[in-house]
Amino acid sequence: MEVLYLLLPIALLVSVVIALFFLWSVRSGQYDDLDGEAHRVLMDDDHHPTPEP
Amino acid sequence: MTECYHCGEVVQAEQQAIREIAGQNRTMCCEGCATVAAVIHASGLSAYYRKRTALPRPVDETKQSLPEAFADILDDEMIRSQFVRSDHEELNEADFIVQNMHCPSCVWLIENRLSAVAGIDSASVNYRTQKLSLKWRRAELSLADIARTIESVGYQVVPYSHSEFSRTIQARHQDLLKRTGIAGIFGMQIMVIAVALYASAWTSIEIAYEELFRRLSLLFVLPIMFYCAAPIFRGALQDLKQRSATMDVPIALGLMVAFIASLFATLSGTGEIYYDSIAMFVFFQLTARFLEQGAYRKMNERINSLTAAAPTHANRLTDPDNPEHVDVVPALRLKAGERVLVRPGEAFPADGHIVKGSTDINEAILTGESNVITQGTGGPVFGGSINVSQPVVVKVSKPSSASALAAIVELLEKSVSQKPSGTRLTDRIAGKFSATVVLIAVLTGAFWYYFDSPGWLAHSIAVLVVACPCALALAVPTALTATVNAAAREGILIARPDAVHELARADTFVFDKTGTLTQSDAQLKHVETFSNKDRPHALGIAAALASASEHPASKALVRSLKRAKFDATDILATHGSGIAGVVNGKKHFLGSLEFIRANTVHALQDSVLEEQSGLVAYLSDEQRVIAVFYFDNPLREDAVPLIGWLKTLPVKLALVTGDRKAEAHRVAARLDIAQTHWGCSPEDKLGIIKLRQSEGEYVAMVGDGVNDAPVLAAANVSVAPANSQQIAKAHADVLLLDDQLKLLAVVRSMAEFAVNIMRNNTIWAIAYNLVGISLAAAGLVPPLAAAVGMSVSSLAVVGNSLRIMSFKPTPI
Repeated sequence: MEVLYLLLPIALLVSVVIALFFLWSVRSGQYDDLDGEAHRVLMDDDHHPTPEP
Repeated sequence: MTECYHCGEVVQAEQQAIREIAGQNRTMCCEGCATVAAVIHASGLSAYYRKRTALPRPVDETKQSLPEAFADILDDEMIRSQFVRSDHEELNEADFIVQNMHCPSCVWLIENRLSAVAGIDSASVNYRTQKLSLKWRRAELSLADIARTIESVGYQVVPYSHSEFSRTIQARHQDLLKRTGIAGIFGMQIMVIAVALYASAWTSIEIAYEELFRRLSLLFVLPIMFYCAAPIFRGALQDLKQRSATMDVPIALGLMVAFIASLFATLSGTGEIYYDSIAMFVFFQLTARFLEQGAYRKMNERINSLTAAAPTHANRLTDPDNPEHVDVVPALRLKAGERVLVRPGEAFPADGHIVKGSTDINEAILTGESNVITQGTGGPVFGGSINVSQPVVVKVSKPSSASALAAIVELLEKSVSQKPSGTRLTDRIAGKFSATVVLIAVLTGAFWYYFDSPGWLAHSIAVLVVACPCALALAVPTALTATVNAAAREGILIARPDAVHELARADTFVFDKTGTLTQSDAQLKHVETFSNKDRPHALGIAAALASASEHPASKALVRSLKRAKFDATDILATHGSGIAGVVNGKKHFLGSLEFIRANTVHALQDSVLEEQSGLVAYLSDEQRVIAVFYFDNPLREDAVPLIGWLKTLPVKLALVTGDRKAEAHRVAARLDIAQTHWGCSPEDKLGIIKLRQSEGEYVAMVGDGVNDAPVLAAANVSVAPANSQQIAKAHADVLLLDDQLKLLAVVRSMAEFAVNIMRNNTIWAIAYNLVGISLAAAGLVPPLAAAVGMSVSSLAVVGNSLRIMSFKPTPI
């Protein structure tokens, strides 16, 4: 079980990295508009002039 | 039947417009739609027509919502400084509210149209808040150009200035999200380790590993304690300074005792650790606060976008004697003595006197009365009131910051600051709760110490930890959040959290009349015809003449007819009395009794032509009177059932209005409201509310106008219907989004239900704490039981609160 002495510090490190990523994502405004992106993904595909049906 | 290519309205032959789009002739319902469709096609954005999931309104119709000249003043330095961020030559940033957005494709259309414009760096539209964030280079592009570009594809924008308040809310939202997320991430690690430690109660664990687990938990709990929970400690500290108490005090106490006890246990290697409880507790708390705050943030944004208004402009005469030459300037820049031209349909930009012309004026914004008044040369006009019929030149007597409207706004601000504040049920008991818990902990410690138990300190600490009121602190916020969300689903915005308590508690409902209980516009009630002409025929002639006028009666006549029957030519509107014109090759007159008498040969023969009460218009040709039109300011359809429903509750009802006595009594009698105050100015209304409050009544005010805004702010809780003026919307606690008054009944019963749930929650949470404390005092609560109990009790409270989401209002 000595491996715990290695695994647990790694767990600590990973969670710190995740926490930092999370802070960055909040700060860069990724959580500011949670509804808009859902629509945007449907709209983004074809921005070029298209002949009318 | 053809439908408009752009908006899908049925095209009427006389107004149709045809454009060639992508090689095909398309028929549009109006010039506005045709122009917009052509621009969209020319920009290569025709895909919009395939993508969209909802149809826009006809462009000609939506265009009327903003004055054409407003784009001209956006670039004025004074106006710009109010909403442009980082205002310098290179890169500018500003937000706008986009009006008339109707489906997510609008976002696509606007963003793509704008990004094709040289000088625009980025444009992004938030569909939920209808907000457009724009970065552009001012050297290349003026704001007026941008506004016109957006208008060219069928939308209108008004500048959005971030109030200090909404900026704070946004910052707090981000802050809380960070803390909640971090508490979640580290809390998970602590729980994983805690499960291993719980298991050691049944199987043995090597002391070295137990030490390792405990120390690692300590590392994980440090950020939770000192970063995530910081707002709780700050809140508690502030309470102590102010010698008041909210739930923060007992929470902070519990957290601190649990942490310090665990810290000693970890360092000394003996004793219980409560890291799992701390982590879970902080996470639950922050999540509840985050959700609560998020619900209000959404509401706040909705209200901001509903109340964003274009800056007011004025047509200033460059030559005081010649109304042909005008400059468009912001109303803010007007000085006393300057002359402005005010066209029909425009608002007067400031207080002043008419120096040229005469006109009908709608002063509803100041008085709440729907009738128009007539002013000739020399007559006073007030800023904010609407010019209805003729262009006039006005000499400004006071700058717009000193106008009568500004005085109402000032009155409003005063009442906002004096608003009685309600406190939450749980906050009222928080102080006593903390004191009691500390007392019990001390007694427990003393008891066990007296009986020489080695665990006296541990038992005392367990009491404090178990007493940490997790469920109690969640009891109210979760219920409020659920209520706000459930209300939003029904079409009701709850803008202020505690409005729910106050709405449930209100024992007096005060209603404004015009626009609240009655509809805002006059309506044709009854037509009487005298000659052989039938009713629709007479109505057709009248509507043709009336289309030339903005008088409420004229508007009602035009509205009562779906489609214009006749066209009128040679129209001559005589100010304040009537309209003459040729319809069907014959001269007709529409107007007041005096007007008809002056123009018609046989006007006086009929006894029916006695002066009528209320709003009446006569139609005649040169020989005789054809018809009499009676107008009415009808009650809203759901006013009667709503008042009937309120009468089944133990509440008092009152009517306050700026209107005349007869009209006020007519409405009061129809609705069976006993207490009526008529002829009230905004100050009078405020006085009535304050008097009632001083008599111990808990007042809910329902009103829609600018003149109601101060009262809305002063009442214990205020409700504004959907058609309210912006300033009333901005200061109401509750906003009905659908134009139905009966939503008031929905929100009242929902509030009562929610308050009931909160009471249940509170009782249950206190009971849990009492049982927990007794067991802990007896030394029967190990850390595992404390952690599980805390979670179960919290989840029970959350589950109970969620019942509000499925609340079904009884139909009235």
